[in-house]
Amino acid sequence: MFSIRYFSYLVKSNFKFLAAFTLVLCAFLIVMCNVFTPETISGISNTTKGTIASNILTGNGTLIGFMSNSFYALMAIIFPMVYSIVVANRMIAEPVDRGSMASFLSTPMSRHKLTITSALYLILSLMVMWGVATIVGITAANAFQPDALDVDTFLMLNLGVFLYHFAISSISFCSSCIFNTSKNSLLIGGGLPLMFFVISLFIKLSDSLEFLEYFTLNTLFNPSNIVNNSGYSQEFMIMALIGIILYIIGIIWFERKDLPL
Amino acid sequence: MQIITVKNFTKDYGNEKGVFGVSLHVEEGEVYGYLGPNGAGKSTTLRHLMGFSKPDSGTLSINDLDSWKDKTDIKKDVGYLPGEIALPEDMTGIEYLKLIDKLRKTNDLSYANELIEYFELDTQVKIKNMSKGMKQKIAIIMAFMHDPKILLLDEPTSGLDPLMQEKFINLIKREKQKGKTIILSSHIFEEISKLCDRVGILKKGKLIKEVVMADLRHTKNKTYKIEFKNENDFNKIRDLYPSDVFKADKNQAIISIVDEEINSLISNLSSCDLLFLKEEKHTLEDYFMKFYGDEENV
Repeated sequence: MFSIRYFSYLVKSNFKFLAAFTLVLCAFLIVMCNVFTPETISGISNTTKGTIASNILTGNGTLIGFMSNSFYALMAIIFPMVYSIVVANRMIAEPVDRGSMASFLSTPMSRHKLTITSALYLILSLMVMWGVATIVGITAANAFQPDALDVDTFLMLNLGVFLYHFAISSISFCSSCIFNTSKNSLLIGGGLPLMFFVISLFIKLSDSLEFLEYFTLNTLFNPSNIVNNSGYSQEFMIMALIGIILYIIGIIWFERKDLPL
Repeated sequence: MQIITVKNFTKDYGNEKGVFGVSLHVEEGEVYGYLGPNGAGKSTTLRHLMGFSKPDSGTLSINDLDSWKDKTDIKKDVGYLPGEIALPEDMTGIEYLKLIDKLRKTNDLSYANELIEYFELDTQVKIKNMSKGMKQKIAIIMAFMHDPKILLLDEPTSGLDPLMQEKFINLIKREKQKGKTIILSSHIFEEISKLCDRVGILKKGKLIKEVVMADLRHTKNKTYKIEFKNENDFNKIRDLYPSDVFKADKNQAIISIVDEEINSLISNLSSCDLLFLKEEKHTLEDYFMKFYGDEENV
């Protein structure tokens, strides 16, 4: 089911991606806790009063409200998304496309062992990314603005955003398993998540585009619902379910398909 | 005992590409040459034997295990050298070989080290900085290092210099002595005729002929090339062997006879004034061209 040897190979050859993206996320969190004190937040909300930007940027005036409206609406979505797209493609479609998958599959390691190990690496690396970000966020908040951060909500936000990326990565992973070329794998596995992101931006810009919320996965991760504690467990479960199903479809598909090796 | 069996194997990729109804078998300890030009379907057959793809129809099996259904189990005893080498780039040669050793759970690099020395390979180099020949050597070592009973080699000497090609041929001879069962796909006649017991000739995805190399080497038909000093002798012999090939401009005759007729040929020639007489060897290449040459005239 799982190959520890192959896993450690994946860790080695993908560590730099994980490190770089985690670093970027942590840097954003630290800057956020450092710079955006209650005074600056009210300053921004005064200057942008009455515009859409005010609503987008500031939220309810607390640190967590500010984070949920800026960090969790933008950086926490797009950066790990790019990570998932790149790494999911590197897991399966790229080595199949290049042909180097032949060297692993000519050993007595089964296809599902390879895909399950790869899937676990991708999921665990996202867990590590958000685990580190959570710890760094709490530490930074304590250092710069003691007691300003609502830790319970912060943890819930991070669980939510992890589940969102679990679902996003499952799309990229499934696509990586289905397609034999990097090009096609990225077209679907990268195109769909990016489209979801763009649609979610459109929705924010105009109320008349609200019907688009049924066409994007981002609807399921709604930071302000989490901050206001207004019913999000169902969404969390749906995201987890989407992730599990798509990972399994990818693994089964790869098991059965013709490989051009 | 049949180690490798292919029965009515068909894989149609469209545009007349693919393999169509190929049946063959390889006995234990036999070296089977798989001969054909690029695109004839050699690699396709080997890939299906490795279980990378599913045949449209027919079955392929190794050691009585189905290549598609038991694709994981068959690999324990198989060493595979792909036709196009692609290796993970971001590691050194030795790291890669160690990884493969671990994935195979053989935990024995002694033969790998022996082969590294044999091929004079520097394994401390990152694979992305390696030349084509070096990558080829890594792939060869990977296929041989766990001492598998069966070897599937797809154009194994491409990218190697003549010296290393010679070394590779000696390696195969050694493996053959150990009793390995080998399929060697190639379009290089020389290495096939040096190594193989039997040769299957593949043309446009169909197995058109199987040749036992020993028969080819010890054929009773022989061909002689003779050049005469003058036209009179040339004409005299031409009258005696009307069905053979004569080139009047060079006074040359190419005469094919069975061994029983050699004495009469010699006595016929004894009164002639010759420039030279030499035997034209029946090579695998001639044999191969006979099948391929026909197509061009049609």
